[in-house]
Amino acid sequence: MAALRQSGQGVRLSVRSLTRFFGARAVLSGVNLEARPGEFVAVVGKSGCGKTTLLRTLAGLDNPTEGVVALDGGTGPVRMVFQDARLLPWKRLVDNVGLGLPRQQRRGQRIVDALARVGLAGRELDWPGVLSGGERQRVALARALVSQPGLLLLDEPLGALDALTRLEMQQLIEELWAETGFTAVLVTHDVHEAVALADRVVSLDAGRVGVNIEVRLPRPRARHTAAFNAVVADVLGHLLGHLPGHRASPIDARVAG
Amino acid sequence: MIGQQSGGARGVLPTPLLVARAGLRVAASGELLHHSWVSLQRALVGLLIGGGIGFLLGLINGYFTLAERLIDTPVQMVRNIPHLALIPLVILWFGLGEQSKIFLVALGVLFPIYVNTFHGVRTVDPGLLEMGRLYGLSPAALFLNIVLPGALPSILVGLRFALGLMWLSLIVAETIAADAGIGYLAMNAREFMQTDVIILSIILYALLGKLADVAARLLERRWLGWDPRRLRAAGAEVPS
Repeated sequence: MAALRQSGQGVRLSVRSLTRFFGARAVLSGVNLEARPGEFVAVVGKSGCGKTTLLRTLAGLDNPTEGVVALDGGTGPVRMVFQDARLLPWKRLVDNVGLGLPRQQRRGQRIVDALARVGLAGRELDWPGVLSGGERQRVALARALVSQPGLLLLDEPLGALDALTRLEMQQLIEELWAETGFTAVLVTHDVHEAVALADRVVSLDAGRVGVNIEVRLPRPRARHTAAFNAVVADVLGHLLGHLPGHRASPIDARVAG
Repeated sequence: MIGQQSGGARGVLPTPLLVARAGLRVAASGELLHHSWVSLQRALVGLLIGGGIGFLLGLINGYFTLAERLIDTPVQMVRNIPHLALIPLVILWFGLGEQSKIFLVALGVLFPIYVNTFHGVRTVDPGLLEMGRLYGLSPAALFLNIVLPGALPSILVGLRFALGLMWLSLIVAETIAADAGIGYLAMNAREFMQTDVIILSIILYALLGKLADVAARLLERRWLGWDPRRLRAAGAEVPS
């Protein structure tokens, strides 16, 4: 879809020794993370492991106590999709999607196209209040992508959806990412989701990067194949501490090449 | 029942028929329109002034924590004085003219609008504000697109409370000192023992009160049409 196609490319993301204290508690301690332009990185971890704080720092919503976040190259702004869609209930879909655009573009063909691309063609004048949870997240995706972001942050965007809707949405996110080429950082506690979508899965444990696994499965990825399940088992093993690798922290999450 | 006078209670409660006749008489002489218009004007001017001040104070104190610290306490202190207790002072300050009535109405409507505007601004979903900032909205755009519409349901609740207090303040003010208006009509009728006109005045107040309520409902329908509860009531299929 032309409306979402990006002339530029994703940003190069580089996080160095990121530390964040809330009071005396270190939520993040010395996190290193890199993402190539256009790479899809998933951050998995238990509740309270610091993954949301990491994402908020990348978005500029939270200031690190120490460390550097650098975004280089690429075009377009940083956009974020939250677990709750955060649509403005008093604005029709067209105005919700156009929110981050310059004033003169707020009611153009781009918005119509963006809504159509997420499967909501012709729904421009609906109120958010009549949408289902999945439809809300579709609108939130359209709102994020209509500005052609260089970096898209996804904070457990599908966590509140039912299993079937979640599968549909995962497919949609993968398609949109493949079409437009933004760099993506997905925070999730669903290891299947991470393995299905990401080029690389990074685990976060007590504020430290535990493991960094490259997922070399062809796309679109068939679930429940032996290869898929092997990667899932690998990530889960690291997360649950059954396999070595998580102790050698902080592992530099950079991928060579 | 409607037209029969029961016993010698003529001076206590007139029949509906007598009240209707009084209505026709007062309407024909032009007094009805004149006094209603004077009262309505006082009510609206008072609402505009007091509501405007309450709205602005509520916005400022809701938006800026420093302003709240400085202004909220004195406002709350004044709020706890029954404003009708100020009538003797108000008459000394403004005399018996229009200003005293408008002042009392303005004072009466100020606080419900202030409190509800303040509450509305404070309870705007912080997640929406965070999203707005991240999506590059300027402070002015944040205010217009998120803070104000988010506070609007609460502000309209305040408006409906204020409309009740608006009539209450006006009735009291007009009853105590006025040379025109519905309250004057009633007090003047008392001088001549015209209970039918007194009842007519009470009915007029009730009708004007209802009119204000209908106006508030229309505003709510126009401005809060996005509310999922309203959408459901209007027959839309809304997922819960």
